[in-house]
Amino acid sequence: METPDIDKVGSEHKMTMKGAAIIQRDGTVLLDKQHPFFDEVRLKLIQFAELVKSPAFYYTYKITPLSIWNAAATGWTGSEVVELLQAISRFHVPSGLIHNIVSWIARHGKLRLCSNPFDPNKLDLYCTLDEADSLIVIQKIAAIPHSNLRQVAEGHYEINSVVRGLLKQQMLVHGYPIVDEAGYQKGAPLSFSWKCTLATGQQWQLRSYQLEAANTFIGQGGTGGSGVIVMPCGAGKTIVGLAIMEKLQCETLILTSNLTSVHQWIHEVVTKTTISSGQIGEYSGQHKQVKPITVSTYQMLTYRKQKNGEQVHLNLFNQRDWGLIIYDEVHLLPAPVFRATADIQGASRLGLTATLVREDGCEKDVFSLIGPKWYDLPWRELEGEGYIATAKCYEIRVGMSSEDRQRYEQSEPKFKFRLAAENKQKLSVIKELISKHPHRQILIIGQYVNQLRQIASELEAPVITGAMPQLERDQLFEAYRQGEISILIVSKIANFAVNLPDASVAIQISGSYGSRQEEAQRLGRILRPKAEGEAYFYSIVSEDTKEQEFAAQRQLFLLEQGYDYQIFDSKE
Amino acid sequence: MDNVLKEMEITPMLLKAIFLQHAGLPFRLTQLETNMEMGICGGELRAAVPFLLREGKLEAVKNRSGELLLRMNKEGLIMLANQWVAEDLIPYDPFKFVSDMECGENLIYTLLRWLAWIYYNGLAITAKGTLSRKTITALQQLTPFEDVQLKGLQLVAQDDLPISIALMLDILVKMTVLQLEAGQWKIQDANLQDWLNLDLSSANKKLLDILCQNYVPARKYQQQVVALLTCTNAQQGEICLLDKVLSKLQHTAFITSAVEKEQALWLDSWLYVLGQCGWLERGKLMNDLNDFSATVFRWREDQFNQMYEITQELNNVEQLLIIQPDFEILVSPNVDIATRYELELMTECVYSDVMSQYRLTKRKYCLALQSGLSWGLPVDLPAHISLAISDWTKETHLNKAKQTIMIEDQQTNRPLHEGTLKKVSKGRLADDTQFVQSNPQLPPYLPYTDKLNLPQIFPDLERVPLKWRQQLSSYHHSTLRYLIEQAITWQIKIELKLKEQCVCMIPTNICEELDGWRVVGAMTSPIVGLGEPVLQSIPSHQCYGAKLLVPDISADNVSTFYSDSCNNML
Repeated sequence: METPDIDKVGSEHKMTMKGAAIIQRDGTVLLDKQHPFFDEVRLKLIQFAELVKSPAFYYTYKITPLSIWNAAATGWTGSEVVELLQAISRFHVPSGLIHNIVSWIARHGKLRLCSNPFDPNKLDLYCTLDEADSLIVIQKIAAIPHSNLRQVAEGHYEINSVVRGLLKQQMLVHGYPIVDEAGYQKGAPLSFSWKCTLATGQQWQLRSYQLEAANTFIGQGGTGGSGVIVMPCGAGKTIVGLAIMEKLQCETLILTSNLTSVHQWIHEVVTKTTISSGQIGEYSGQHKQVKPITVSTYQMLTYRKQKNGEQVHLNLFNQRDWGLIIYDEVHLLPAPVFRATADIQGASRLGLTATLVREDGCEKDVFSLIGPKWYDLPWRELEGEGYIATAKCYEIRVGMSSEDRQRYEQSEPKFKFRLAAENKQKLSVIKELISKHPHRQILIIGQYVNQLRQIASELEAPVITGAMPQLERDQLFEAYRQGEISILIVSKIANFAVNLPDASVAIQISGSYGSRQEEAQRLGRILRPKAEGEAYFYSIVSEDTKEQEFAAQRQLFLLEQGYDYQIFDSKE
Repeated sequence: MDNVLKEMEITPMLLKAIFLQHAGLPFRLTQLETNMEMGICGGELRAAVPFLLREGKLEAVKNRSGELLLRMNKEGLIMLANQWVAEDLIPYDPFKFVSDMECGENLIYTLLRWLAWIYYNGLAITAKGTLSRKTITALQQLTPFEDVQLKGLQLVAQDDLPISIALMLDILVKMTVLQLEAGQWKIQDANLQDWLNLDLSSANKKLLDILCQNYVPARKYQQQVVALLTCTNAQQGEICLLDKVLSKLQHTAFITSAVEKEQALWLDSWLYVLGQCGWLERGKLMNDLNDFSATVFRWREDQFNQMYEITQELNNVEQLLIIQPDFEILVSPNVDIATRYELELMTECVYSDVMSQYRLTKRKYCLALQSGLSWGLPVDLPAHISLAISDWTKETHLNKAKQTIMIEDQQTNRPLHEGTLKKVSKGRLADDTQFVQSNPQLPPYLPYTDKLNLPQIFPDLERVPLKWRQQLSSYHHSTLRYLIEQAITWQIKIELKLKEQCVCMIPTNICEELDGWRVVGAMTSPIVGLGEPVLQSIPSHQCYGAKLLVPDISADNVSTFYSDSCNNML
């Protein structure tokens, strides 16, 4: 058994950290936020446990094989993890969990993938697992198409480099993580630096947590490899992406969720770095520019002319010698892009997101193909430090007119939600809320275009939907940013990656059923810190309807992050 | 070495010999037999009975027909088990103990969930008088046991009732919180309150007693294992080497493989039950080479001792019961059983562990309200949860009012929720007030309160010539044979004079030979339990003298076991 590294465990705090956490048999760790050593313990815990949620009193972490392999990658041993758990635990650490941690961590590093010094098309695989496990693993690897596995010596194999991603992905599913030491291609170099003074004359610098996130990513054993950074909306994920680009100094492909976001990335690159606009390309429906920095969308990459046609733009991955690929809003990454990503394991890969919640169960694919989660910052923590706005969340319940109520009661269940969501009584509440915030930038977000148009017409405010040409959208967003218009009505196209720094009031009038992610992302639109103080998030729902039930489900992610909804009747 | 053993050394040895023969089960005086391996003969054990009774190590009981029986008392049993098991414990090292059977939820918490379920649903029965399929299906979701894993216990359940359910219901009966009253099973509020007032460790101890007393077959091996595995020393949380403990139980050579298999199956099931009750973990011990070397178990000492110290300022319910904004309630292990029961009634259990998680849901909350319960947990609720609760309350009252009108319309006076249990199956067992019987089940015994009149320890003692037990003398072969046969009948030792020496022997039988006979037995020391017995046979013609070593039954002190009669041997 290895001797624990005292520094890692933090012997100076061991006595005082006692009792900070409760450790459950399934690997759940409940960290007491009121414990005097909460911060110290949190910093230790995030190295081998994943933050699941952070509501008011206890932060919930989960120790999983993935989180343990992440820790092993940064040098933690089984004894160190267990000793730290014993040091912080209020009660006994369950013995089954100890065994799991020790056995999971023992698997890490037993399969290593290295570059082949003689043939760039081959990789060397070293296996030091025990005999029984080796047999299983080698059989599974040999079954991967095109792996061309060949034994060189005992525990030393040669494998076709094209299966690098697939190999890691499949072996992880079987519980055998592969340490990828084959390295990353540096990519074509791109020399640039920060512009510390913006065109407006304003000075700026990286925030401490942004620098910490970038350094954590780059510092992965000095490899500058791959992985995911999780940060709340408004925390500046784009800036963290730029910081990593600045450290790697290489050509970069940036993939994001929509065209507005593409333009925002381009804007950020141009304003905050010395990269000229001529070096940045937009790869979209309108432009097919492939330049040292290229920004595109997932939709573009997966576009087919015909239903079963070829995804011609996936070729973008190979059009230049990318040293870094950034997957913005990585939680939206579609399956074809995963598949393509499996083939480009030579490039460094960075995933950015605020809500690493995948409804499709692809977390393992994110881990094996993009990389492990390297950094995770709780929302309220950042709010406490003033980096994102303090937000107050309200659910306002509105009754229905007797006619609408009757229609609602008589309708088939599948239509009830929409009827409730489009409740006409919501309009008067919207007007009242607008009047409560006279000098604020207000966003009204909804799901149904007809409803949005009706409200727009009543309020005489512009509305942006998916049907609007991109140029027009950009102009409206810009006018909103400049304060030329104070009320903007948007459909779900503004759910993600739309940067509206001055928006401080969001009124959600309808949504996509119980989507927790959508709720969180919509709140995210108003979280940029602002001079006028707090931001306000209102969700208007029809009382005693399906919509009210879905609203409770939607709020869960934010509740888990420690946000508190106040519920009002519209009459109040 | 001092040949005279002290009383404190002899008593445990005698108890050990009795334990190996009968565990804690009742026995007749005549059923105390020679333990050859220990060098203790049956006569010695019988002779020690008056002393052990006076010392309170044995107790006299009577069966239904009033017959006097003896058994080790609980205190003696525990003392012995503790001494034995202490040798087989090694300090707990989480890196060496690899659990292969994780603990389940603590039994008392599971039982509270059952009671809450029964409170709301009752126990519906079919026309045949058995539990309805719907009830069985629902209870199957709640039981911590699997039928197949309980097979080894050989419990007999009511017809059609899965054993995993029957056992849980029967535990509730044995706790006296569920009783048959006029054909209906009802929760006994007063008895339940007694349980709710207990702290966790006391509740666990009481439940463990219930399990040991009711679901362990009245068989020696099973009773022995239970005594050893559940003694207080074993419960300290250290690693106990299972095989070493079991090896002490002296399997007799003539045990059949079928019995051995049955015992192994029983042991598996018994450990499984203790594990599922949240008390014990079974696993393997990893040696320095990281190989698994032995099967071991360890008790979760925190379940039986007050280990959950309040490490911070966690001194009131508000801090032990934390309501998170997402309607989740974190429940510290320090939370008392009564509060746990209230949580079971008012909320849904999401996860039960060191820190349990409950969730406040509309469904459960409204169900509680409809049954006349109200939120009584002394915790501050976040504003949005308070509002949700008031919404649910409003809605429940509205629905209740609507239903009341409907009921009135139907001229039905039946209340919406009776709050009591519905009629359940009449048992198919001999005793229909229970769901399960152990097989074989120990009949009830009463303390023997009459004047104790032990049967003669050495029958016909007065008819045996005094000389036979007073002095070593030479006898004719036929007389010598009578003397030895008497020793065999009484299961006592004899002193034999061979050519040059005197030896002590526990004779077991006499073998005929062409030119006479020979005595077969174990050569041993005249001191109780001293020396290692060696099997030997001696031809009659080599025996030049003999004497019966009759233990002195009138001795108050067991260390003078043989008084003057064998002083020449000491």
